[in-house]
Amino acid sequence: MEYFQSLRTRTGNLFLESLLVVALVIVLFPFMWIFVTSLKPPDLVAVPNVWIFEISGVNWRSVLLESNIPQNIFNSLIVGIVTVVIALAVGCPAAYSFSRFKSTAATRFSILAAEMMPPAIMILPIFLLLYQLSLIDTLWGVILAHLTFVIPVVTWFLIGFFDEVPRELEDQAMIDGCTHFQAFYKVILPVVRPGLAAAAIFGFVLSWNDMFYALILTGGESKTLPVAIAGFWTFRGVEMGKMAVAILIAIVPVLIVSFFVQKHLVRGLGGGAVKF
Amino acid sequence: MPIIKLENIQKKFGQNTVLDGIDLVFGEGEFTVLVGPSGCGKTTLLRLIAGLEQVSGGKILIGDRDVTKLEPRERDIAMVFQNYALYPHMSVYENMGFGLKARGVDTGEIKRRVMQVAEMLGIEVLLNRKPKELSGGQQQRVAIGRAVVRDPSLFLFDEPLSNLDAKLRTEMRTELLKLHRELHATTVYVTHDQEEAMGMGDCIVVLNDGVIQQRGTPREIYFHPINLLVAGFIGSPSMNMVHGQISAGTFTSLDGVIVLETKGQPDGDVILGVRPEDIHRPINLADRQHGCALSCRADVIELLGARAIITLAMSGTELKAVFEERYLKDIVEGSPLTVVLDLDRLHFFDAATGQRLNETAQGGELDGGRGANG
Repeated sequence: MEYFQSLRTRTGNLFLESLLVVALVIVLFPFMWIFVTSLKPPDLVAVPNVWIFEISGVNWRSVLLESNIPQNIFNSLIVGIVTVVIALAVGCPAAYSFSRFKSTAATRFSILAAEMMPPAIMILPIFLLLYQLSLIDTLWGVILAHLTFVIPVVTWFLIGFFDEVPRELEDQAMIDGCTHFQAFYKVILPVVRPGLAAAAIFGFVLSWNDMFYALILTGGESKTLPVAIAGFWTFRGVEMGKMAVAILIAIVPVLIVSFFVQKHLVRGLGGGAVKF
Repeated sequence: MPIIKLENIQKKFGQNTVLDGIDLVFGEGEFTVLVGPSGCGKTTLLRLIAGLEQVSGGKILIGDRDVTKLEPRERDIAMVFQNYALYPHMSVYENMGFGLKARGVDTGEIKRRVMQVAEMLGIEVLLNRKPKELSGGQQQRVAIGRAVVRDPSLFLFDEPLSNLDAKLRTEMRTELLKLHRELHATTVYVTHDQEEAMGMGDCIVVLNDGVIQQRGTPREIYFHPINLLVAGFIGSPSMNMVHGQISAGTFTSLDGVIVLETKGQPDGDVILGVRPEDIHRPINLADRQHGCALSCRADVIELLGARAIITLAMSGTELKAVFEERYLKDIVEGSPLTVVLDLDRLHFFDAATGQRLNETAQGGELDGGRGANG
């Protein structure tokens, strides 16, 4: 009997592990393919069955030294960093207020209402607004557009972290001589530092990855990295090798940083609904 | 240390009245314990004194200062919370010095005072550690140290021992009392543990439903409870309550099992209160004559060490008694036995209002040595 039970457990485990392997292959194969493509000479890129080839740095050299990609990376960095700084400055007090003062699940959820709408609905008013402000094809234009979705997400993200800080900490700080605001920035903010870091990374990734707004709002010098990546799809065809290099530059740093804060990312995404 | 006065304090949350007409004075250097069942309003009262909640009516005076509208930081009080509320990102030293720093005390003075208090509490070696590296007892000491270092007008404690295990709680209770004797600081201490209240307070305030039920010394509260609620809440095991009637100076329980003479109590429906330790095993005739003898059966015996709680069963009535273990050698569960109720220590309460009817003969004094169970 025990033998059959153990056999069943082992078979079950084997099945689950096989599923995991399949899932991993599905997720990782595109990354591997992009990586391999970036190292292929341009004339071999379109031949998918060639696995054995001479490694070439042509694509990397071309993208890093002979294209506008470094400028686009810089643009994306500026947009991402400024967006995150503003989003945290606005989202932190907002999340704290949602956490500390009476807020129902419905009001909390309303923060995400904007996220429920397709970006296409937002883009027209945003475009017209930025046009009036002469901010089309500027980094500030993209930053303002990104703030429309990064602020709600960062706010939602941080509520859970503030919920977990005992109220007694700020009570204690106020008794110790702080005003409510001093208690917030001297005691509460340092306590939720891991959450702030995770929210910052998450907001940065959202901004860094956005192509929709950036594509419509930028054109020339203010192009961000995702728009530039799409630019490798030209009338003459897709420059797969260069595109692969740009994609790797876009995703690898983000993946590495996300890996180190994944615990906080998962916690924050729950918005206080999930405790770990 | 100034006198703290609460005048007609009211607190409402929406339509819900949490505290109603609280008038209290905390004397200079007095250790007052607010005690009562969960939800009675004791923590709310403490938070009102601290300024963490605003009163709906009434005044709070510290000395001559009306602090009712002042922010917590302007009240010159210190508070120790149930979960200690240590700042997790700061070291013990920074935690203790935070209040002084926030008040602009210079670094040298902060260091001198923190070191002095740390030495007093025996936590010098912990000063560089973070709160998460400390045990519950150590965290407790740091929280107390943080309060002491500020030398405030008033100390507030909100159930500070309830997160500790039983052994540590007893130790910390003693330490807190020693500290109080040393500092002679006016202290308000909230607990739901009546033993803690009895053991620590110079004065106990029993609260229920937002109203003060009784204020007095531990002896007054224990030996002369003013109503059924106080009588039932203070004492462990709780006071035995027996419904009955007084007619022509004789109390008869509803089931007719307990019949005893009263001293001038008016006729009517009453509740007889008997503390478990006022039920004795008679060892001589004098005991029988002094009290009211009852025949019963030892239903359950719970040995606590030197003492035991015995559940005594009579026909329709059940009483709990506390006997010393040495008087239990001849009893097993189910044994018939005779017990005596100490007539000088009975409590009578009006069955309708729950208010006390009689004066106890002992006037709150213990007469050690009487009876067989001590």
